[in-house]
Amino acid sequence: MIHAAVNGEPTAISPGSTLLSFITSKNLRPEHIVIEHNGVIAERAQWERTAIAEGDVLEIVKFLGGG
Amino acid sequence: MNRYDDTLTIGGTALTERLFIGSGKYSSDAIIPSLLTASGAQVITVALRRVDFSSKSRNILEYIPRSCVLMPNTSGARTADEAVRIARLARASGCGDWIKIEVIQDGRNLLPDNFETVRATEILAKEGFTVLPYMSPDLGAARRMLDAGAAAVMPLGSPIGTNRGIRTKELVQILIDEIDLPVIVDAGIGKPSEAAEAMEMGAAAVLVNTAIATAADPLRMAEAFGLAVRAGRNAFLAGTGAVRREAEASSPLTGFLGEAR
Repeated sequence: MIHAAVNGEPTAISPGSTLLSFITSKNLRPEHIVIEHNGVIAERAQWERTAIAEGDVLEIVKFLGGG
Repeated sequence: MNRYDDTLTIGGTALTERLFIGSGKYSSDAIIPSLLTASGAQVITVALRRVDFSSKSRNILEYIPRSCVLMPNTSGARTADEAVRIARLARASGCGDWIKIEVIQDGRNLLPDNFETVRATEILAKEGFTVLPYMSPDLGAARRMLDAGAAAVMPLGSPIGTNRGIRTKELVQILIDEIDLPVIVDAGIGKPSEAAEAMEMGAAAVLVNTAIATAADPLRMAEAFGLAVRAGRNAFLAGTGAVRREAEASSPLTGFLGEAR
């Protein structure tokens, strides 16, 4: 397994995972979230081709209620 | 001015309703479409947070029509740099380029840091965001927001979530009078009468969250706020009559019954 930090949590991820396959495995709809990959916003069109590597830091965010 | 032509244009978007609403503090996002209908609001704020992988609730965007302007806030930011990071993530959602800058270090009073807010405004305006900074009502800071490229300024009426009304009235009035930008009273408005008061003062719009969300009947309160904002705006456009110290009869002082002619 690959070890990454996802939203601050150490997370084991299957080798060969991409950003898209990872969020799909978490039942997230791509159009509802934004991903920051190692401090850089990951372009949506690249999610399918972007592999998650050992030690990567992912922030996966969405909108929710706020004032 | 024909009141039907009274639009507020911010960031190239022409709005006909001057009540903006927040989406926080509701037990379910499913109320949002009804809130928008009841209030008439065309702008709604949202926050950006980490995804909770264990949550089964639907995404808030499913409840917000695309015709509605989404105004993400930078809540949680303690510095300009953190606000900039949140703003860029928000824009990457593809839901527009409006951003409410909210930079707060003061967890007790939730008062904004005007200095960091100016810095964030400057950076984000250069990047093409439509920047609406939430601020303490200070004339010097508001001038710097204007110079930094803000699309509006959003002074607080009283601290966030307090429902205490426009305690900063005199300072907000100075911004309205002096700053050539829409002034949107944000935070503290607790009652529709206070929203109307802000509009009568000449505010361009008001942003209301807690007062609606914590009402016993939020939908009815949303409608009441929509009506109050329209009433206050019409009163401002109509121009209020002079305030006098002494009485002045409204009825003629001649032609009384039994008067000798």
